[in-house]
Amino acid sequence: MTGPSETSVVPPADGTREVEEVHEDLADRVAEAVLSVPGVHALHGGVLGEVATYLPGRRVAGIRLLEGVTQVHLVLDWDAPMSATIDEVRARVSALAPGVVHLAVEDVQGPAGPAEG
Amino acid sequence: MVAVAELTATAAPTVAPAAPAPDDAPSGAEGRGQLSVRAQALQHIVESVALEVPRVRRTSGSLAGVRSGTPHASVHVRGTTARVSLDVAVAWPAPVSDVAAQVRSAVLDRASELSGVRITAVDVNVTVSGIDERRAS
Repeated sequence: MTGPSETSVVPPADGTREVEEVHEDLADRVAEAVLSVPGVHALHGGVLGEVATYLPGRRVAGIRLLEGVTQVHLVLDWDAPMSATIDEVRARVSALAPGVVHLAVEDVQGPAGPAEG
Repeated sequence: MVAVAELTATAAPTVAPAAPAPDDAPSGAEGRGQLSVRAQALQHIVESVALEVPRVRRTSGSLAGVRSGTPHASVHVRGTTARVSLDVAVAWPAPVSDVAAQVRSAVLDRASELSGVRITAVDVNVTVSGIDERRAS
């Protein structure tokens, strides 16, 4: 049997589906965990929408799962203290996804934010 | 603890990776990943803080979007610090210099605290809105 470290090797056709389902589940759970943090307004897909997890038939914007690295791009509420909010996001994501968590604050939503400006 | 894309807020196509925090953050988050903050995010924090100051009013842009509405901040980031230039409008009549001073201290204190970015300088330009309507009447 291969150890868990071997999962990066391209698996046979049957295995591919399993890996995708695991990722699908994980991307959704990470997204849910991020959005549950007070002060997080939304996930953000990046300027070109390039930050996303691509799944069969759909995508989870703002979350990118790589080998040992999880990228989260998000929009905060303007009055959320950034460092505390970021720490909380990092803690919740770390609990779900192993490895390093890279965070990017793409924008801030507020009374002077883009949606109302 | 925060690095901001070293670009002005109006043209920020990339996100800069964060540098390790030399600051006072008790977070313990270092080493677990990077944090990057787009200048646009800082700009919107500053604008929102300015809007909280009494008598500062929001104005909408005009001239088909050529002139932006206020409050409008222009953020210049260098490393972990930022310089801010800010346009605000106050309603007539208003003690302009008082409002300007309040905006300035609000941005220095509150926006720095919220964003974690040390704001070193704030230039405030105050315009008085509502005068044109009064003249016309």
